[in-house]
Amino acid sequence: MSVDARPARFDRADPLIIPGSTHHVGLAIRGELKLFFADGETLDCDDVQGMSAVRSSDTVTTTPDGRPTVEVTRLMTHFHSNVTGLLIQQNPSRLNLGRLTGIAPGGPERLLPADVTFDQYLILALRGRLHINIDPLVMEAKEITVFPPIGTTFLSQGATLFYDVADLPGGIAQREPGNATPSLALASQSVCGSHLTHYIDMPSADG
Amino acid sequence: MRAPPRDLLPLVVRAARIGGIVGLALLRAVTDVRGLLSGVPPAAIAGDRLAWACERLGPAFVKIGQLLSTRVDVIPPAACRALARLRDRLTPLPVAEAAPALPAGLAGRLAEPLTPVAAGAVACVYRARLEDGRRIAVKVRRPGVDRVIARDLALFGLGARLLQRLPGLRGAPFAAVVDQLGDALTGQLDFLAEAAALRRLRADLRHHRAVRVPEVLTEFCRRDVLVMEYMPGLDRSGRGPGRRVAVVNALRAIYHMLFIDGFVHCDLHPGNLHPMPDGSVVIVDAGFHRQLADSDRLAFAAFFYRMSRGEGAECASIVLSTVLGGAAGHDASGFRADMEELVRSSTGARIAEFDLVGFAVRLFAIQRRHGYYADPHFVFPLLSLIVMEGTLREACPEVDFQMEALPFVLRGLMRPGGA
Ligand SMILES: Nc1ncnc2c1ncn2[C@@H]1O[C@H](COP(=O)(O)OP(=O)(O)O)[C@@H](O)[C@H]1O
Ligand SMILES: [Mg+2]
Repeated sequence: MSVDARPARFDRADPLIIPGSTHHVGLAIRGELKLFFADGETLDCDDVQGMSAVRSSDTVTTTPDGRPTVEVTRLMTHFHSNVTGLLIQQNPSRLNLGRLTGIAPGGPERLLPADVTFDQYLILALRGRLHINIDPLVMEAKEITVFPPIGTTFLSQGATLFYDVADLPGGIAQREPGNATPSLALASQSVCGSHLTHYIDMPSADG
Repeated sequence: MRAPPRDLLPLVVRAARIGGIVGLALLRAVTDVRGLLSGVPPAAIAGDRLAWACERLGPAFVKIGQLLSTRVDVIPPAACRALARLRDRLTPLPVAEAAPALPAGLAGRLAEPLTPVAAGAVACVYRARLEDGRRIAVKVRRPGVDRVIARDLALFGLGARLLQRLPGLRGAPFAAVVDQLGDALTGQLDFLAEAAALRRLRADLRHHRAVRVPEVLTEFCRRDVLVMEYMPGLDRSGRGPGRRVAVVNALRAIYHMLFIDGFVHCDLHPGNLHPMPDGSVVIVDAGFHRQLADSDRLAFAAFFYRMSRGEGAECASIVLSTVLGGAAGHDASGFRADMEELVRSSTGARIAEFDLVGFAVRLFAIQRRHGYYADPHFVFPLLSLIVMEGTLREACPEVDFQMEALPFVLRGLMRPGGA
């Protein structure tokens, strides 16, 4: 497992590379990532960038309408914003699952182009406090043609509330807000311009 | 509660007159073959005739017609649009008749006589100037209008209770609706309450620099006279280069009131909400307002949060926690399924294309279909949003209303409930 393990001619637009693959990518998120606070403050974090790693399942299944679909797991999320000091990490107490579904019916060879969606549970570190989301932050990309989805627009619908971990008796593992009042909200209309840093372990399905 | 015969007679006469005019209106509606043939929706024809009848039946009916025009939860939208034309532009009460109504303390301090500005079914507004140079607006209640309205409301309530006894209509909240309309109407007759609401609105919105609410001159106000700062130029509102900025300013102020303060001006139609050419906004006439309980404010905000995330199941749970049960046979699972479908189909489109009126109409229809009636606490803020959107879209259709709302929805949820 090394950066150079893949042959240079490797084609990321080949759908057969997706099952059983793991990738680490460096991401630069451009566009809007806004934090809203109770007192009316809005923080624009336009300079968020960082790393992300995703593994896809070995098993390709079929949706009721006949399209190939594969589960994807986000293994790592690590973003930061230099300007605001915001640090975004994955909440290790929850799975960050997603799904990649081919647009056309067929077998694994039709996995691309695809729609991808991720449910993300995060920890935001900001100004000495930690905040977690209890509702998933759903990120979606439509009709991606390469995987990992480089240069693809990921959008999240609406916004997501976050709670100060200090207000949650169960800490980062808590699953219900209980009586806690949200401490901030994140709305992202992000455009991810990502580039690949390295692959690990990427067998093709027919190999 | 049996009325003595002496008092009953005028009620009977009045009821007969109401019955006659409404009957005539209905007759003209069903015989409007030309309208029907030319494709006008029957609800629009009925609404049009109803408006005609209201105008003939006096202030209570005009006001009730105006209020009904906002109730997309009880009447078909086409009828609402027809009723919305019911603007009470009437002949002003002659200054000679209005002047005696002024408190002595005010009459003695006027530097110029009253000039009529606007005249409605209930009140007339005049402009004047105080000795110290301040320009003021004086809203004078038409003499006797409170008695006329009280009589009609009593009849209306009676009618609603009778209707509710009819088989098939049992459980329908006619009486509740009439009670609410009655509250709204009587509330608008008490100018001391309106003065208090204006003061509250002005205080809550003081940080919104571009939003102007007339200052109340409390010392001159009485139950039938409201004296306030005169806001010039309202006849030029909704026009000019600044109107887009004004619309955005108005939205922010109103979303702030609704989602964060829970204080709702329920009557933000174009006569009361003025996006000005210079980018500012003038809000007048706080006669019809509501203070939401914190739990209702939070439920309302949570509903929009869930909507914005496309979470129909959660939306359904919130609505179910607020609805009033209707007749037997609630169908919670059917309601949930329909609600999920509604949210899916409404949020699939771009957020800017979200149609609040269409959404609300379908929401209310789904509730009725499954045996629920909307809780007024949930309905009033929604209706006020609908009226406000109509007003501001007319001035500037390009603004993305939902996008402007989202930060206020989120902040509303971050504000802990008071209780
Ligand atoms: N403070 C004011 N300054 C200038 N014009 C006003 C003022 N208040 C009301 N008006 C005008 O008078 C009209 C009627 O007043 P309003 O308070 O809305 O009465 P109503 O309860 O009959 O609707 C308003 O639409 C507005 O044009
Ligand atoms: Mg008015």
